[in-house]
Amino acid sequence: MSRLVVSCLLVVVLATQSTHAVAGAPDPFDLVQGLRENGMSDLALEYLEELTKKNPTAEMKILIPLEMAKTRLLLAQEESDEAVRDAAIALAKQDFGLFLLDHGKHPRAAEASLALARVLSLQAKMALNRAARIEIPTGEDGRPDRGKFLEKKAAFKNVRPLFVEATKRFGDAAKQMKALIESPMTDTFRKKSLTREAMLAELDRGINQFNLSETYLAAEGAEGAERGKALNDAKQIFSDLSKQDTSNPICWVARAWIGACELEIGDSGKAKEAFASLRADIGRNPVAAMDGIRMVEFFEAQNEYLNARGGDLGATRGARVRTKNWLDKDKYKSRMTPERLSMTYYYAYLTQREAEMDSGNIYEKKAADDTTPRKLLNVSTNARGLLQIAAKEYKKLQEFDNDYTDRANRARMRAIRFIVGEANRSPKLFTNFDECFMAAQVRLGTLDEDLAEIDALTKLPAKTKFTDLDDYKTQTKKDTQREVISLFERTGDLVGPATPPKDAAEARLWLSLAYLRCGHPQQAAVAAENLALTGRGNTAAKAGVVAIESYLASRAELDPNDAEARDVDRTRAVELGLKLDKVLGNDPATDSVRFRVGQLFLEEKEYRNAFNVLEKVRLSFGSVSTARTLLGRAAYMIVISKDPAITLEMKANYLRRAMSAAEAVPEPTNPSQLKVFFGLKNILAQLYLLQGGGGFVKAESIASATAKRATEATMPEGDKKYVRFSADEIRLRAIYGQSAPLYKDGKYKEMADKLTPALLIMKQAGPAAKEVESYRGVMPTEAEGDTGSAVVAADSLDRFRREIIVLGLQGRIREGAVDQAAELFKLLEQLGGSVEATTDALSRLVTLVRPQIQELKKQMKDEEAQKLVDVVGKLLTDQAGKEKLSARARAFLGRSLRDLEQYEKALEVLEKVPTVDEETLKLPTMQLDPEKREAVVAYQIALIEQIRAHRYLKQFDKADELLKPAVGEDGKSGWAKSLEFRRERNYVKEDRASEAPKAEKSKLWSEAYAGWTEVLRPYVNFVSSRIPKDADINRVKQDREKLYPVILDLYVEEKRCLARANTQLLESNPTKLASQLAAFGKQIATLEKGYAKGLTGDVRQRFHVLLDEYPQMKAGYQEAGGTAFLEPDSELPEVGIPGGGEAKE
Amino acid sequence: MPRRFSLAMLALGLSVLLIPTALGQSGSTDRIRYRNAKKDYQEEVVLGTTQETSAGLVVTLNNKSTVKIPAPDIVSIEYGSLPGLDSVKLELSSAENQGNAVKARDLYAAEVKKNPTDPRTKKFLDYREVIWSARVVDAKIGKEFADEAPAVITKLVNFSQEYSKKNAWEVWHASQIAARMNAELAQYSDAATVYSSLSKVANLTPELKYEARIGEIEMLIRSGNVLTSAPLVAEVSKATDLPKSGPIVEKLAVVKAVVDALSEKKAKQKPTAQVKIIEDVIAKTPDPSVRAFGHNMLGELYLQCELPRDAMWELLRVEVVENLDRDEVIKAVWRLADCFKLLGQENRAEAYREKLPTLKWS
Repeated sequence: MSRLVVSCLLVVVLATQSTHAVAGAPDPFDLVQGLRENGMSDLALEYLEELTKKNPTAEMKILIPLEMAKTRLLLAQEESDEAVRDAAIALAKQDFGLFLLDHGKHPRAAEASLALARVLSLQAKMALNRAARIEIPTGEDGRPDRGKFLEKKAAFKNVRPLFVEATKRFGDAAKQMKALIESPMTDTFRKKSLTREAMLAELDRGINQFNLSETYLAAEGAEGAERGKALNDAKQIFSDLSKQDTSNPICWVARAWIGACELEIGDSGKAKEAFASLRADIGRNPVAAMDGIRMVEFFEAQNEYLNARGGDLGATRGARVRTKNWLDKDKYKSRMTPERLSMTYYYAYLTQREAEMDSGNIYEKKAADDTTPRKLLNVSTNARGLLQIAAKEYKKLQEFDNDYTDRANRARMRAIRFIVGEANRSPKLFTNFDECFMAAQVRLGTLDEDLAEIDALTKLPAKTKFTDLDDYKTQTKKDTQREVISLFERTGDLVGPATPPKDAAEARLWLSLAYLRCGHPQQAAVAAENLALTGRGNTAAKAGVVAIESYLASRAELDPNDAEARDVDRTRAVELGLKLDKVLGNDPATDSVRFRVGQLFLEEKEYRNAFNVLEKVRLSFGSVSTARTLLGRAAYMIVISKDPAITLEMKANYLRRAMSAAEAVPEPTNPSQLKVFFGLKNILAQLYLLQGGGGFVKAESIASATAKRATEATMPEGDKKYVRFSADEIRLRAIYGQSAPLYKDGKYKEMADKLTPALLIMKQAGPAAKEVESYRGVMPTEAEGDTGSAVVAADSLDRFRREIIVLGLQGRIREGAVDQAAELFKLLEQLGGSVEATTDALSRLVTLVRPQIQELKKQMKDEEAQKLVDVVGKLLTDQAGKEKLSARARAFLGRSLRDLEQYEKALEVLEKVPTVDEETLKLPTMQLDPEKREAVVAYQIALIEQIRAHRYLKQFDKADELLKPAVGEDGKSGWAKSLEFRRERNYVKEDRASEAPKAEKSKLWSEAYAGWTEVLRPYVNFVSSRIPKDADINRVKQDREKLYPVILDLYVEEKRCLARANTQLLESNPTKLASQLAAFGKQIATLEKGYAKGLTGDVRQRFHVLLDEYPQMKAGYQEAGGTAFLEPDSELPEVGIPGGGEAKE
Repeated sequence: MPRRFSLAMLALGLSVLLIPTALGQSGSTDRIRYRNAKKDYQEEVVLGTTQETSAGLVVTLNNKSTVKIPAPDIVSIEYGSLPGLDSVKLELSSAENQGNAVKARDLYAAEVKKNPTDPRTKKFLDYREVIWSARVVDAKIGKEFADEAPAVITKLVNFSQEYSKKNAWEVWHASQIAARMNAELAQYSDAATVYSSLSKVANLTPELKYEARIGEIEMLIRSGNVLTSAPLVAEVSKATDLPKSGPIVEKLAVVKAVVDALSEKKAKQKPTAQVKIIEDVIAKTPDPSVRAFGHNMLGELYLQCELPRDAMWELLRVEVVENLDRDEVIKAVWRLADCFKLLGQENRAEAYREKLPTLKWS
């Protein structure tokens, strides 16, 4: 165990003294400091919060955040929840950093530097404590596990730089203070207080340096020398400080620390000398020396404790008395100082040891040759009394998290076990609240072990009524759980007038936990809710958390179809959560309530409710990164929502709030929380992406920083890669967002400049997929982290990298820089990882380029359009010329060529796609093995693309020839089930009619129209048929409504066909044509009303385009009251970042 | 004259340690420890022969020069000679040094019963007996304190009455403790009476007399008795021997503002004009005791205006910032217990009640 566990940060107030004694209006911050120094940091924070609301002066506005940070830092140290404490400390650290950044030349900047040093030192101490918790199990050979030992040693070593950094910061802060003291601008009073602060900084530096020596675990050789140097350096700091001003208590404390260094070095003689010399000098200033004496007595008692740990009863008792005396003398200190903390543990430990060594105890009897430790069966009255004292002292250490909490937990449980003896005895036999409560906690603590023991039974016990082992196990488990609950219930019965209300409330809280653990969530929920609503403070808030969890657990047990019953539990949970949010808003546990309720709202897609409740989760919440991530997600969903009730201003507001909430979260020091934190940073960057415009730059910067930090951070490799790949993708999306407008504006050169650095990085890095190759299909170890997510993120990143290259390609092609385009194509191949992936990227390129070609043609820029077609076409044919091209890739390339209107080339490529026999084509694709399925899909694409190519080439017979086996002929059906082929058949018919000689037009157009009605008929029949009497009308209606968009889509085709036909057939009779088109428009208006539930964005857009093409039709539509298709569909997303709507975390 | 109880407490705490030493000394030179008001109340020691008055001490040094020490500033006296005490010095020394208040009280009581003939010794023993009696009771809280304090108050008042015309500087300290105990029992009128009597002790300096009168007004204010306190403020304000400036005048301004505010108080409303007057006094005074007094009175005012949270901040300021005057700190602490109770923070209220005994004789 560590010899000294005095954390430097708590040694802030050494001597109570008046803060100020000068005339002038009361300084509000004097009160804040006074409250802090007197252990009332909570009140100090409340006072600061009140100050912020009272129109503070400009100077106060600067200082309030600094004071708040100082206060929060102290509060954080009292926080029992490690995660909450870490978050609060990180927040304070950030606030000090911000103060220094914004007001580096402020007279109080030195103070902020000192505070920052203290935070670092505290974080170092916490990291050391975490490392110390690594347990080293004993192997079968009875020796400590070597691997675990080395892991622990490495963890200790990792902490070292933190201490070194903190020592340096303390030194810097002390220097800054000394400079201020020497400045002629500093008044006498301020000099006095600065001198004291500077001395404190030196003391803290010394203690921090002393603690550095603790990072050397079992140090030998060079390491041992380093440790010795660390201690000698600490001794020197204390020695220099001790000589500064003998009237200052700080210098006396420093003198005491010199002795502590000697003890740690192992020279007890010198330590004794140092302590004796201090005592001899008391007369020089008895008042100032008091703190020094206190520390000397502490170190002496500590040393006695360390010696007594392996000693006999006499030594144990002597050390116990000494520690007790020290505590008695110290009891009027208002704060739980680190020394008192240590001494409380020593006292509890020695008391427990003395109790266990009591001669009146009864031990298990064993054979003389049995050397295993004997079990203590019963303790004497004296020992029981001592154990009760020990348990009480341990409890003090359990009330907040500190260096001793873990040890105190374990030791107290051991003490309790001895006190309560057989915890398995009947609850009725307990007559004392404390003992029953302890026994109940012991039983709950061992419940899992007990249940596992029952599970492990392989045969029935000798005397039992059961004949089946499983029945016996089930019943025994139930009985065991019932016993645990009975103990807690009995504890409740034993609450009397003398029971402290806090303990009674705690017993109720434990009862509800026991219900939950024992599989009675409903009882747990009711009991916990009752406590939450009737109790006070933190216990009530904690009960609220239990109640909500219990309601949700209870809901999970219900039949998923019993919506009503499920809703009851859900509503209770939400209502309770919202109530506690109001009533116990300031309690730390209420943040857990908010978090859980917010999570629930989010699951239910109630994004605004989720946002409102999650936004209230404070920065001090332990899982604040997760909470803010959820908040960001809620904001994301709100912003992309199409709910007309959410205006653009509201969306902007949500976005802003989510972003500032995410930005406020500081980086945690606990490595286990880093993944979530970086996830939050990624969400933040995505919110900026969503904002667009200047947000892209910000998103790029955040994502770049996140990727860099993740690379440097101490995290499992899988987590690191996951964060880095995700951040990198967001960075690329941000770059895309900035580059796309340049492309749109024809600024191809500028775009290339923007993209080039990113492309170069991509080229150097190579495919992300390669970095995760070893993770695929392998279960990760704990040390590897989340490798599954890393794989997903890598694939996603590679996909987006191809998008970026495609954008670059577009630019280069438009720029006419063919060589660079070819280079980019190579990069595409390099990063694609496969021919298929490159083909996919090329298809995407064609999709993007085609509208541009059409636009150029519209603008009569045929040459430019042709150039584009040629370059892209070449890329496609080059790709198609590659060997070992899969059928699917070939089909896609053919389609892309067809898209580019390179029909001949397209046919050439498509014809190479292997055919599939008709029998296979007739089978449902799901029944096929993957290889055949792939072949079928490729063939179908190739076939339909060939038909299209022939159609565009006006080779209708060839098209028909290919169509026949697919769609059938002469009343026989073909193998194609897809609507696509039937559509295509009608397009061919339409085009054939359109191109036919005048005399044949009428007949051919009639056939084309009949083709569309034939396709439409079964759908219309289905939705208009009579509903059977015994059918579920609502279900049938819902099923039918699902088809409305399909029907409307086919009606678009039908009306278009009619309009096209009539335009040709009534060419010579414009009046009739106008009337006919108007009639079609009226029919469309009727369809709009009849199929209102099928008006999807796509449908609206298609009708809108049709009506725009035929103005007379539009007039008729409007005349008939049609409205839905007049404007282009606003819901259609503009072409932006590919997949930009996908939230990544 | 800012230090009142505060120095009394120190005097009582420290002098007991020193008496045995004094008892061992020969000759008639007394050793006096006191706070020097001219040197920021730093503690100093003088040796000489003392002339005692109700207002304090006049110490004649070896060089025949004299030092005047006001009663509130006396920390301790080691008498060069106290006839008749040699036989008990060891026992007293042991009891006092160990802080065994009950034993010390009983030992002094036993000595008192012996009716010492030397008047100085008798006064010394009478005083120590009542002081140690007070100390025994002050270690208690709640009902125990309430049950036992009245008897001690009677003792302290009797001592003050007996020695009020005998030039005893101890009267000042005994009366202060009696007043404070009364106030702790919420017997503010009785506390005011103690101060009233103290102000009438013969040979007090004007500073001490008006200090006592302000104490009387303060207690009447705390009793909520504006009707009586208002004329008293007027009477003191018109006094011809009232100092022209300094702590007395400043404190008088404070109590006057409080009385004015309370005579027209409205529940849950800050009397801003009067608060401003008090805050100005606090801002301008160089005397920390006046500042503590000002904040304490603001706290009292807010409490009576049903503004416990505002009161809390004022009282906390006395406890943790303006805490040089232990007497004011004690008053703040007992009112903070009331304050937290009103604010529904029972745990904190209890902690403050428990804190009181540790403050009184520290």
